[in-house]
Amino acid sequence: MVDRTFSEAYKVILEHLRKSGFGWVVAQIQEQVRSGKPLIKDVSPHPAIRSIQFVDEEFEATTTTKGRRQRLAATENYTDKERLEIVITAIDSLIIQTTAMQEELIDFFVGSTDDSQEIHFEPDEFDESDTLIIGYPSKKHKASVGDLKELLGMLREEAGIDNKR
Amino acid sequence: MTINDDLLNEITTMLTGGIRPSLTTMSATSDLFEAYILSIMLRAAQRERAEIEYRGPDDRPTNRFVFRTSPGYLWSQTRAYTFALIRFPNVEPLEAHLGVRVSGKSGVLHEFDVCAIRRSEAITSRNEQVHPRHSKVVIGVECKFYTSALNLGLARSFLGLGVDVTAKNTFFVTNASSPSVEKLLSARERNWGNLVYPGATMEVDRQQHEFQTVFKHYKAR
Repeated sequence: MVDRTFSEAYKVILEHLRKSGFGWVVAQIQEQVRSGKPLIKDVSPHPAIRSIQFVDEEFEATTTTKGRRQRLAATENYTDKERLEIVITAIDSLIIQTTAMQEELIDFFVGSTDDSQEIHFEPDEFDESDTLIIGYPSKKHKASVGDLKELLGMLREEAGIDNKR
Repeated sequence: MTINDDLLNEITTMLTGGIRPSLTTMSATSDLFEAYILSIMLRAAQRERAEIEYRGPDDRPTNRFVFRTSPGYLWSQTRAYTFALIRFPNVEPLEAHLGVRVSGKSGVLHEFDVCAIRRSEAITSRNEQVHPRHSKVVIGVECKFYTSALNLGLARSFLGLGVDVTAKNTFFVTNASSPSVEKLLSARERNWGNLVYPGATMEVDRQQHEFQTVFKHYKAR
């Protein structure tokens, strides 16, 4: 089997997310990638320019003193490795974070009561969104999430991405 | 450098079939995140010695947890929406709600994903079917659950909100991170919390402390 470049891996994962109905996740990833990486550059700004008008001609004169170095905002494209990192973070948020939040919410709100172990999110009048019912994640789901977490860790390691999550 | 194809296949197989997140839409993840931030706010209140009790729209205690999927009117009886009654000793109790509309300085309505409102204002709202006033909101939170960096427009909207509501105790809280958003909100001296999600101990603690600080001042008034 042929190994994939970072760029190919990024595209493959994006495609699978899209196929699995997570177009909104893909859209958020692409928006970040399109916006580029904000950074601060230490530069010497171009000296001020003055227009000097003679009888028929206009000249641009530059002052001789160079401006002092300043920190100015810039944007650069994400590298292939950074784009892969963005997509890994997105999967982490989508699956690992939401599962952990679900667990914490049930523990916090419902944990001590004898009632149904569920939290309902219901639409108000004239709101056409669907009702969402969350319960404690199943053991199977938690095990799968554990496996995915491990795989994402391996992917980060293989790509040389800081495994901070 | 390359990525092992087997590893990539294992991950994509999990994504397409092996593991299905229980929440598949953007709105569902946002709902969950708002409830999660509410839990952090309530923990902060408990740390400040508050007693918490959950109530339904009839203002009676309940063990059912029903939250809004989108912002609505505090007095709505359409569903048995739950709120948390927060009682500190010797001060007016507060009510913590998810997704309610409040009226701003201009009288225009705004939405807080999570908020703590003075009890008397919430009772007036329920009895008279009027919107709570922004000045009676002790904590207001705008929550953003994103799978990648936030776009700057979200921070701009939050800044705009500050023009019409008391900005002092309003927070912009997200599970994500975005240097541009953080820079803009810091430059405008607005409260924000990033990377707030389970397991991010430092960030979650910091957010909880920020809520605690607001409650501390509220108790001292």
